[in-house]
Amino acid sequence: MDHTTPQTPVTPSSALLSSLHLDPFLHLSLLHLKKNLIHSPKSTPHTVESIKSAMLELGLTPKIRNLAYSLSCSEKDRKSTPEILQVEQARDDWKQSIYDELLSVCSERGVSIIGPDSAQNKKIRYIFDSEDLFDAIKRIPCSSNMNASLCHNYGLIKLRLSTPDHSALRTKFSELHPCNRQYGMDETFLGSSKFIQHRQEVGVKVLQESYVPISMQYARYGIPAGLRPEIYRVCLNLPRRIGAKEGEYYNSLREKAKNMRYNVVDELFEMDSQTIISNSMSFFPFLENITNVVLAFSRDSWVVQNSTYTAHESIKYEMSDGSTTSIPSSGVQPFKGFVNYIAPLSLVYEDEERIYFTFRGMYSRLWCKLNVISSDSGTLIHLCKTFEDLLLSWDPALFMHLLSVNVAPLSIAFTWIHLAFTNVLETEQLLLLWDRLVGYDDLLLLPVLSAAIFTFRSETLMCTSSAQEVKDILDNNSGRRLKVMPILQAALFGECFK
Amino acid sequence: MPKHLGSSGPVHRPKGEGRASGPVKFRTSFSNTIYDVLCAKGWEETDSEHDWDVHWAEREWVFEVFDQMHLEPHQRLNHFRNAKEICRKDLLIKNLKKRKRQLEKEGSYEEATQYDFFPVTFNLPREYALFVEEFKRQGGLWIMKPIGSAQGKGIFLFSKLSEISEWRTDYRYRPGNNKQEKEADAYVVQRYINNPYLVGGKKFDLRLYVVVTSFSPLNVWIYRTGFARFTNTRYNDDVSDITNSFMHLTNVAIQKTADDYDKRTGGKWDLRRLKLHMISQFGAETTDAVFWEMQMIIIRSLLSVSSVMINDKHCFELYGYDIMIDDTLKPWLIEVNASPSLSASTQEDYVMKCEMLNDVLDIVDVEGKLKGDEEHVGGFDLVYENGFVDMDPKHRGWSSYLGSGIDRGPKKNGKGRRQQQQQAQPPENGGGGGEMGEKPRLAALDQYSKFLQTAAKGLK
Repeated sequence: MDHTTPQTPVTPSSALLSSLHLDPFLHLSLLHLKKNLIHSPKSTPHTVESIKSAMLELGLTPKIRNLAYSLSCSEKDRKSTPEILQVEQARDDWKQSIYDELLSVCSERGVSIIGPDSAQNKKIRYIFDSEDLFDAIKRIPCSSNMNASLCHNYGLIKLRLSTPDHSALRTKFSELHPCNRQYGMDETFLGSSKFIQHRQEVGVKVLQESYVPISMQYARYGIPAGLRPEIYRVCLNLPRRIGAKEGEYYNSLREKAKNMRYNVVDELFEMDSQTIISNSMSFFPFLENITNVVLAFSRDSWVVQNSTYTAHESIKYEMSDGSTTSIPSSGVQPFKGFVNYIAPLSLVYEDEERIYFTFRGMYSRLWCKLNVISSDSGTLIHLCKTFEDLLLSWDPALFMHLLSVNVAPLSIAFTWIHLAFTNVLETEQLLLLWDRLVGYDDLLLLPVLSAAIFTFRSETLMCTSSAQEVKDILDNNSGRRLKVMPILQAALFGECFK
Repeated sequence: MPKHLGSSGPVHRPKGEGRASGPVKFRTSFSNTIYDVLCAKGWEETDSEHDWDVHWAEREWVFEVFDQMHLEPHQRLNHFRNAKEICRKDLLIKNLKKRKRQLEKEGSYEEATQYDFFPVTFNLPREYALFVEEFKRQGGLWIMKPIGSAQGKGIFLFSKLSEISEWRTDYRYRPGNNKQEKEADAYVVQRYINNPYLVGGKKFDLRLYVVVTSFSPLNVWIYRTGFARFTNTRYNDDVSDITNSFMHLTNVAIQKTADDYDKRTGGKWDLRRLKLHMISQFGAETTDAVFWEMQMIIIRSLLSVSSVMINDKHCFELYGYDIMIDDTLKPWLIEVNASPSLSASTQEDYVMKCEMLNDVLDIVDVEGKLKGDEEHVGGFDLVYENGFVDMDPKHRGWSSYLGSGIDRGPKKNGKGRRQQQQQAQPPENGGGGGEMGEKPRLAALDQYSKFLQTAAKGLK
């Protein structure tokens, strides 16, 4: 093995090589391989086959395969789309406003971000929520020059972003076509026991492979409840079963949370958890687990290093020994509703450690995109625009009608998208949706489902004559009975929504 | 997979014969959910002693008055005369043990061994010596329950014999004011289940609802859903913590006084939610077996008392079964209530209880609307009709209906649905759950296929 760092530009294979060094397990295994196989005295000329089988024996193959796959994906991600100036500006403003808000809450309380909390005044308020983020996005003008006439469109998102059209969506989500049997649909029908059994068998084989793209492909058709815990882990490039190292790492985070409390930040996370989880019919038994997970998350610098996007600004605090620490270490500031991303996992995994790592993986890949102000495709603004464009093309009459009663459709759909439907769907349905988000590693189904719900309710919505009526019909509680797959299939593959 | 014994055919169910025409007249002293349901049916309240069609009575009334009354054929009463055979803890245990011995005598040893779903129990003071012998042999944690208590009053835990030698004199342990119980200080002592199955680190017990319309022959309807009632504090099996009655006792009445009791959720899970959770933890097969066991507990306990119950075609009864699951996933029968609480602690609770009570009245069928061969009424399934009733083939793969979704279909006349929002909404997708093996919701399929049809002319 060549250990020298190449001077030439980084190519995928050299990136793979250097990554192999960074992973201690792989590094040791490769040394072991080298020692026993390549340099052993009684070695015969080695064929690719014998090296391959030795690697398989050492358990290297799945790890290297998944590593290679994830590297190839990140190459793809690093597109060079030019930043839109006003979006950049908005992002900086947003981060700054959160930063300022946090500090002002601290000073209202009379405490510094870390340190003894002797303040009598326990007053606290959220530093921001979905509505604030929505406002920040709505404010973004369509162009940096004031030529408003070019920006005429009916949606709230004024930016001119190109969004996928119907046929692009049909191609991308072809696995969801009704001709394919899948979970969320086919397991509920007469004679479904064969399908269920088959799906279970395939799932078990997929898990034995433990190869990321195969697991993702499997997830696109929906996952049986018994297999979901492990499939999610593999899709997130984690070993299917949790190991001792992960357990230790999680415990160290919890220790950090106990030993050094973040004033205000921790309280906000706890308040969020307390308010949302104890009032939840489904999640209340897991209040403590979820609170522990969110506090541990805020101590984890892995998040800021590995998330596709950094949503917020951490506060840099100078400690007494001269070192600086970021608060929170994860780079994710607390906001109202954050624990919604964690809660559904408490019904998938019984124990905190597994909830933690899957949540962390999902945040770093998916949820961070919902909380960043960026013009990149697949992130929040782009998803919102996709929603508006889709609804306008699928049901222009409805879109106009809603505008005529002073309801911008995005004003209702925004929280659905921002919180990935956690505040709308019943958990079983939500997890079926999340199966697809994880399987496609893409959030595009969020605006697609949002637009599909509007069209599903179209007849009733066309009869409304006031904003309040619209809100009642699309009330989050009415979403409790929605079935995700039929609605998605009808919207994507139904003929009349061309 | 357990074998079904097969039904011996539909049994004649007395219907509304002899009832005067006009609205149904009901009598009740309750003022909560059952009252709302009776009114919502459009029935008329009466406080006449004799001129009523349905009386939803308190058990005290039955003890005091029923024996002296003559009932018309069409009248219906919500209690059997001697329901104490199943509801009083000491009598229930006696009947279960008796049935077990009877099965052994008959040579049905395998079935007899199945009667192991009640924790080791002794009636006090009568069986005190036997209890002490068992205690000395095994030790462990025990629970003392006054036989007439409800809502958790007077119940306590102990692990040392010395703790109970004081129990008669200590003011804490005096039972409540139960005027109908002559043996006011009779208790049952039961081995405590110290290894409960925990969810989120919390202990819970289950409340299931069962309607019996006849004991001989035995007709049993079981409600598909029910509650898992959680404690608010994390469970701790450290014996020194046994005085924390909040942690151990799950009756809602007791939980309500805990400092961190949450008014909004009432600390309950729908049975279906528990089933889905168990499926994702243990898989469908294991979960199915647990729910099957719970159903068998219900049937076996009713079979045990069916011979001593005074059958009466005027009577029906709604039982609340309390069951606990241990960490080996074995369900245990804790007790049976003939007057399960009908008050609601939350909105969802209210709706669930109203729907259930409405179904109970539909089963009783004073108006004679049923044909008599139904196996499903609302959320209830006829599980035993003088023999096991075969499962609906559409539920293939599941051994019982317990915990599956209830398909109520599109709303009918709107009566009795006060708490549902009256909205201009298209009929929802069946309202029931989309669970594996459940019967296809034809109304839902209809709706979606229409949706797909009008849209999907070009589908290949």
